[in-house]
Amino acid sequence: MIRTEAVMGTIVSIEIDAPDDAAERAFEWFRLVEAHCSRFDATSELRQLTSGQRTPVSPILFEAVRFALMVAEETGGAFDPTVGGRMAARGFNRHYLTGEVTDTPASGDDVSFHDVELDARDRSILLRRPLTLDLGAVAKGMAVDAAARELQPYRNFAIDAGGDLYLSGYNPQGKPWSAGIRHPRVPGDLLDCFPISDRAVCTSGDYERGQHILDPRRGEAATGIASATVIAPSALLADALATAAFVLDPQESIKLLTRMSVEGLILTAGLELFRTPGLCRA
Amino acid sequence: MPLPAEDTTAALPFAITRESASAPAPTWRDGTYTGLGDSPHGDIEARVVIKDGRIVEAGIATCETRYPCSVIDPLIHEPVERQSPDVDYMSRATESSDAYYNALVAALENAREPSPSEAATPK
Repeated sequence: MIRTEAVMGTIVSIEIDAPDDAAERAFEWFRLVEAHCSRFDATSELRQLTSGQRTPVSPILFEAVRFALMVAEETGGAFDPTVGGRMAARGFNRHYLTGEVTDTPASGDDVSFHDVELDARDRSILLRRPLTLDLGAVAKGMAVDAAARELQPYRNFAIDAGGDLYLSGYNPQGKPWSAGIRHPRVPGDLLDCFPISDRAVCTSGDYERGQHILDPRRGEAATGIASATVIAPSALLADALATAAFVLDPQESIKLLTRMSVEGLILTAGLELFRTPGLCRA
Repeated sequence: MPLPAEDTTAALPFAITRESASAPAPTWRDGTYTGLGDSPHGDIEARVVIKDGRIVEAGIATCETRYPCSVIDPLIHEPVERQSPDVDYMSRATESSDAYYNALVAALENAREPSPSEAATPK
């Protein structure tokens, strides 16, 4: 049975053969993570962070920010929660359509993840400069992973959070789930398809937000990649790395993904395909 | 039979626990509902179709923006059921705009089953 809810700015579906309350507990994680990390909700914990003021936060927000900073460090800033492409995506109908240069209020062009300071001792966050923290990708990945943990006792299930997938165990036919990757240029077509068990599959694509994803390192639109998919043990990792792979040079991305022991498939705007060794076909 | 729940799983690279009860799940009445979301460039009307208390379809009903709906629609009109007959699931990038999401939330608000206290209050 497939259950669906609108949460975290997207449509989330869970397919599982389990009592309603199990799926409900899984959906609760999405609502809970959203309550802490949402950019949409003025009352969210994230929105209470003020620059220059060290603020003790919940474990959920702390872990989301900590993970985002770790990936930022690991990718040399290609993923950056302070100026990331996700923010550009969310502002889609405010600046993408007009072509206006947008500036988040009181946020400098040169802010970066280095302006965010964490202290694990009192679990606090300090924004050293005025900036907008966007945890979109990380929060959704975290919610998917937490929901997957909730459903783990049932073994076989699928979570689809607006295209971010976590596929556990087997499909109703007793086979690994088949996960297709949407072709970024041919509507309705697949770029590729893989059998997946116990893995997350996340994709960033230029059809998502035109060619207006910001490369956080340069502050310019990233235009080189049409689609970047990462297959990893956790959605948190897969989503963050797919976002990073969108702005990195494809060869650099493949190296990064290989170093992180995850798989990936990248299609450039020139339609050149790059794969990690684990996805290469004989 | 489900196995006993464990605290950790391979899917989650760290331990977070639920600290507080979140809002209860909404229940929806069957039917087709619309809601408006506004942006500086005009309104977007979202439509949701509820069947057996579940969302079976969600998308844009009308686009009253200064820009063609086609700019936005292919990006966010995603069926909620399986997207292709060839695969179980499709990984895709589908960030939606704030206006669309707000419209969707408004549509779902219209579909929401009134709580017993709301139902008892005469309009």
